[in-house]
Amino acid sequence: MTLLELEQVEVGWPGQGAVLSGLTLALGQGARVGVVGPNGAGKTSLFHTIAGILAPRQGQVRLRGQPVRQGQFVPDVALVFQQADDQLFCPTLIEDVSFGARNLGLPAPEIAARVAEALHACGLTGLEDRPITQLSGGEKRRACIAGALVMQPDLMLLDEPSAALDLRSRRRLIRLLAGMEHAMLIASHDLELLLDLCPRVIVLDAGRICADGPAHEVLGNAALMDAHGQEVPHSLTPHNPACHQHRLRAKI
Amino acid sequence: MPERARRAPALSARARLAVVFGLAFAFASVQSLAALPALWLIAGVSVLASGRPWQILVRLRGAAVLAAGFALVLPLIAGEVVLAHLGPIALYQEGALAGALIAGRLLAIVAMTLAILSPVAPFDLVAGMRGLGVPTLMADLALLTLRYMDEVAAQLARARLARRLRGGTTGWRALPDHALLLATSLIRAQARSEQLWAAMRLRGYGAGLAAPAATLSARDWAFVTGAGGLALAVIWMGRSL
Repeated sequence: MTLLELEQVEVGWPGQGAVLSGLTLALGQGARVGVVGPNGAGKTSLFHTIAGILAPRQGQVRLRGQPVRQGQFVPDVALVFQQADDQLFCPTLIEDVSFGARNLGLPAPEIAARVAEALHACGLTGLEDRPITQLSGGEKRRACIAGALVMQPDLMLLDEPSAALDLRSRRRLIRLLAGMEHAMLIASHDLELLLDLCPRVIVLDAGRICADGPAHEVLGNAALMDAHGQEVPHSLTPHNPACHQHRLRAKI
Repeated sequence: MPERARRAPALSARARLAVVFGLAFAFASVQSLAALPALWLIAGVSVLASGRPWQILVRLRGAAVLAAGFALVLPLIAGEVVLAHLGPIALYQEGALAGALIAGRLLAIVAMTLAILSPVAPFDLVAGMRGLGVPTLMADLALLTLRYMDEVAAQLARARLARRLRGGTTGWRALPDHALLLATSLIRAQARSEQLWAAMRLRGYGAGLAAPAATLSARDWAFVTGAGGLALAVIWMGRSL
């Protein structure tokens, strides 16, 4: 069964042009899809629309066939914000991670079990009482993901998950996300991360889907990527023998 | 969560809020200077019992400055009976009495409030407010204001640093620039608060699914009853002295 469907969705601010227009997209259970596009392409607006923060002017967003309405609480969809500080507001890590579970009205033992599981999955066990302000950038990012995992969602929306992470934190994040079975939409400029995690990629530009297909085909299409302000990821760049020989000669 | 549970405050947020409201009301009703030592005694015991007197005294600085302002300014501007002349300046008896009373009550209320509420996490405090029947909108506003103030302070500190690193002037001449920084920080903090609000709603805040607040324990009731008796005693003393 299709988990998420967007049908001819148009989103915009009153009196202004559309931020997203004619967007049609379907996502199956457990699917992982990367979203690439230049700044201002509408990636964050797309996520906010799916999560019910923004209302479409036209079209419909459906989750398991049920329409998502603006302001409605949809526990099956978890959004991890681009800026970790936009999401973390409790004084300590454990309070923030347990926030969603408490709002679900779960019994205390289940809250504790879910929190422990999420912290363990995100490698944050032992930091429970650490003030949020004392977490590193990578820990904050993982805390946001742990806060989302506690809700046990079917769909995770990750907005620039690797932004401002160092290499080790980024690698750790990729391992974490790769081990999850949730359906995911990941918006990122980190195309190598998308190659690692997402079998499918869509290119969003000026609020429209310009390409949708297997990650290697879409991200490896130099003309397409260039037309939408992107670059082919280094790992997909064709090997240049002349350049290699030049480097060898310089080395000798 | 056993570590967390062990360190959780023994009294519920609801009981603490009820006690703070009751005592603050009683303190505010005092109209006699002779009753002030009793208020300070109660506040002092609360501060000592909180187990973190030094931290509370540090956080009391802002209120102390405000109290000093009342105590210093009111004798200069309010009243008719002149106590003394300091050159061209007259000190009025009514202003001095009112200033001392307002400053004394203010310090006692703020110290007692900090001592009783400081062990409670903001989220629990807001849940406690809701449990006492405070409208959800007001409770939510209180929570966002707490986060918003932190955000403004952090933004302001960063903006000041950035300004100083690029050779910005300091002192009184920089006051208009600081006002501009504050305005910018407020606008940015509002944008972040909107994001926070969205993040909270997405994690079910206000969706009505959360478990209702637990009933008050015997210890809570004993605390509230004892503090209620104390508040009544303060009101009686304030009127009889």
